[in-house]
Amino acid sequence: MARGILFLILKDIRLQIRSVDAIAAMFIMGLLVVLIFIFGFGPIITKPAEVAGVVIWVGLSFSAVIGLSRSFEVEWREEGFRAFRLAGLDPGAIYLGKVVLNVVMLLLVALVLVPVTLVFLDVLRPGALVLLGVVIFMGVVGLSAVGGILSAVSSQTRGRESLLSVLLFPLLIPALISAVKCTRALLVGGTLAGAGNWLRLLGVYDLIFLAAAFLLFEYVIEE
Amino acid sequence: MPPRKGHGCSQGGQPAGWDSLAAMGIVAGVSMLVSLVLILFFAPLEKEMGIVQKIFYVHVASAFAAFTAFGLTFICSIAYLVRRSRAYDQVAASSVEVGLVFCTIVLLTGPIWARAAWGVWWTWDPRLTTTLVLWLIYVGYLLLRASAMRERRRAVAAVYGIIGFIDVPIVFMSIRWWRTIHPVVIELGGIGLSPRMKLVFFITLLAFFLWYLYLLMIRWRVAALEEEIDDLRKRRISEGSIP
Repeated sequence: MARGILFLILKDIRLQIRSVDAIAAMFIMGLLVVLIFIFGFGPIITKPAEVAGVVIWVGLSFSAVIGLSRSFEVEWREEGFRAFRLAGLDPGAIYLGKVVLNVVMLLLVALVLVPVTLVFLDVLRPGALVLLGVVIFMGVVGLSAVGGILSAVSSQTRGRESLLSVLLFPLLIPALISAVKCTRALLVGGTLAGAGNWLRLLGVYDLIFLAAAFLLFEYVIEE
Repeated sequence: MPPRKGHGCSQGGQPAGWDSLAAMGIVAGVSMLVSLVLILFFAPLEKEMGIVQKIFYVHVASAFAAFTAFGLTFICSIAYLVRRSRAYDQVAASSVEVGLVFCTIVLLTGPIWARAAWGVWWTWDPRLTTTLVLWLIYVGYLLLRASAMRERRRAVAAVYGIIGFIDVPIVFMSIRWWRTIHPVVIELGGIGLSPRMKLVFFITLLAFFLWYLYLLMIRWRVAALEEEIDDLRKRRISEGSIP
């Protein structure tokens, strides 16, 4: 199964490299959200370190929706699922492959988006960057874990992907609250000491939904 | 387990007939009336809040019914994926619809009470906020059912019904912590109930539960009839009698 997942990830990454439009759209979306926040709240942001977390996570979740909504399009169009089944690939492997792909794409977006936001708001804290990377990774895993199965669900509706954000955002609330809390603690205090149980909650959220979606995925894509 | 075909599955259980529906309706209706009379004339006035406190009976009983409804959807969604009988899918969908009605009542009565008791329409209390998120999740469930492709509708709705319910305790936990880190303006706990209040409260709880069951039974019956009509239409189309 590990080989199957690896094969799927490589296939998807190759597809993404050959057509940069997906990742470009994700990045521009994230950047626009950040700019809208700063244009909208610019003069009244008196504590930028407290606000930066919200800006980053709203930006990342909007850009995640763009990436997720496309992740199964190609499989339906090109009969990918039938091919995977013929190849004897486990449905869970297909799911994990898509999650990894979305995590990689979102991390690439975050790699640019997060520093840009921190510079715009002037809250760059070099000492906290490693821990910030951990928080971003865990949050992005949560986004992709739930988003991965819900984009497969919404790809089977008449409007195709238009339903995704309606289904996704209510379920993301715990992950987004915890990610914002951790980010804020890091940017304000430089450590996770002020984050309390939030990082643990985020970890639990990631694991629960990865496991649940892994088990349920076969029912979503069966024919 | 190999996935089986999502469509053309067996009906499984049958909804109750009109006779038992009528009987259930009388039982549920009478208990709703009894609880209303008790709330208005038997339950004592609360010392500080006065008459407004009486909304509490309706509010909590509706919340109880809504959570029961969504819990049943969760169980029926799992049962559908395992057994593939239409009955589970119909009950899951019907329960969401009825649950959303109760959930809406919770969200409407909550602010009315909060305004009178606490001076604000809305507080980000864990229970109230979780109910709002719950409402959003299950409106999403209905939207999904409405727009999912016919032959895939049951399976994807069941998956969403399961994932959505798993989220509920996590939402509650996260919002409780969120509130405890910020200064908590109002604490909901610690409402002492007098024995008479308690009696009225439990009768109302029971009445709302019966009323929920009654609505669920009707809705299931309607859902089963809808699908029967659908099947008949499909058969006639395939026989060529309808162009």
